[in-house]
Amino acid sequence: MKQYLRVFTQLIKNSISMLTAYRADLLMRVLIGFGWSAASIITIEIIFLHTQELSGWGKSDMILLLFTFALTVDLLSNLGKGIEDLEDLIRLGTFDTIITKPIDSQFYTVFRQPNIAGLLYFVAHQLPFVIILILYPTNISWHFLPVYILFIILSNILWLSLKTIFITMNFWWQNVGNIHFLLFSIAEIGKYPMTIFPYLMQFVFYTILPIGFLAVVPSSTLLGIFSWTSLVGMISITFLFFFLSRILWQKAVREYSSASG
Amino acid sequence: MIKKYFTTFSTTLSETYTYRAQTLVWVLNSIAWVAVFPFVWLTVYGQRESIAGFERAALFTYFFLVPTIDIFINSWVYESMQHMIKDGSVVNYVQKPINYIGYMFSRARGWQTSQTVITILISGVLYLFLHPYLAFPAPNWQLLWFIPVAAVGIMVAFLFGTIIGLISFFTTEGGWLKHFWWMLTTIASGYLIPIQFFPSGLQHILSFTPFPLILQTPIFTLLNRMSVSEIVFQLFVGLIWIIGLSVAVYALWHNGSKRFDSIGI
Repeated sequence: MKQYLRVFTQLIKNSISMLTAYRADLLMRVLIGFGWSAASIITIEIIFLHTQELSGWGKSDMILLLFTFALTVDLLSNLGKGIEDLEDLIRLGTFDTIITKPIDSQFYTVFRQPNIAGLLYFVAHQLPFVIILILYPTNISWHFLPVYILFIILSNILWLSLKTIFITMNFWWQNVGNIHFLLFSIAEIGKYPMTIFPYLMQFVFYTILPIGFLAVVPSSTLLGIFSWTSLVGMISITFLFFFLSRILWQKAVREYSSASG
Repeated sequence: MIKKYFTTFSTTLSETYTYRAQTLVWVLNSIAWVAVFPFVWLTVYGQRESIAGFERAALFTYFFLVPTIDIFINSWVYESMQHMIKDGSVVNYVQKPINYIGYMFSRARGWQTSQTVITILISGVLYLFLHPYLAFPAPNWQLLWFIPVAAVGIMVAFLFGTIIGLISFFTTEGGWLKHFWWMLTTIASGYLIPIQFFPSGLQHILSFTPFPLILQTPIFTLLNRMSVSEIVFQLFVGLIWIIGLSVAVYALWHNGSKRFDSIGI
């Protein structure tokens, strides 16, 4: 564990030093972070020009949902950005250099290139939401804050696990290196209350493709809608998908045959 | 003259067959991205039949058409241009007796044609299930306006994409520009919401920009939601933009290819 922490710290340091090489890009990413939150806020504003609530969620509740969604998909996922290059690693044969290292290959593949610029983008993206939530507060149940934080940690693990599962498919389906983009698009669903969907879709989004757990469950909790079922569900689904990603990865590495000559 | 571009187009079409799984994933990606919005808006409609002059079925049809029109008209040419400029392979096209911009246009159309066919096939299957919720206008001559509208939209999107791609000649950090363009088109073209739902002042400003031509105007033309004078006005705006963007593309290519250094063996 100590060794992994040391490696991770070093990888973070490397990423920070890389930042200085792309300073203009960094600044623009921060501006784009503001821009994307503006896009989301405009969308919400336009939706709420025509309604008072969206399936029981008010305007500020929706902003909280967007804030939580970004907290889930942009935090740990940026630190684990390296997984997104897996298709390149396999195709170019450079994955060989990873499996020969004396470290868990999944850990190293996922965390080898922490995206610090992405984290700055994340901060810039969240700031307008925070300002709106301060100016137009919603009914937050502060006593559920510890549960909310626990849910955020779990949903970060869940999202990274889902991403890893999708991208691990590249070991078998080399011709669909873009499959994780499909997951990103599907994940957009998580920015809206699940109750807007028909029951069958809600069932899918809480089980097979648990997008509903990413932001809706944590946000509902902070808004005072807490149930033990959601806590048990969140923990079970996160562990299930985390272990599924581990099992799938190990199977993939066992069956991996090098592409290099 | 035209033959070499047609050959490029048909070669690209065959290439997409080789990468058919990847092509299918891109198409599914486009469909998945907009799939949430009909549900959001149906919830907003509630018991109402119309919002901002938009009937419930018309809005559902709008979102049904978004993936097909997006894939057919929008352009992602900057992805390969940025890549070619960064890895130096663009130099091959500086020397060849083919216009690089024309070559990239033919390739882009090749990819997009096959993706559009797949999208139409998938939409056809979806239509079987969704047709009670959709409302297409009866065939009429006004639908023919779609041809010039689509042509202008394609040119506008391609020229913008080319400008973003060619800027890589001058900066190594072009990723942000791509994101900026996505952001702008997402809001201003009508991806998330038809522009008709925007406040009227904003709608007025956007009507002078080329963004509606990339998505909303072609869909509205197909849905018969625009008068002839509105279509003509949009085409006029689009043509002015095409002239301006073409000048910018020429200047960027001319100056960019001049300052591009390549060392071969």
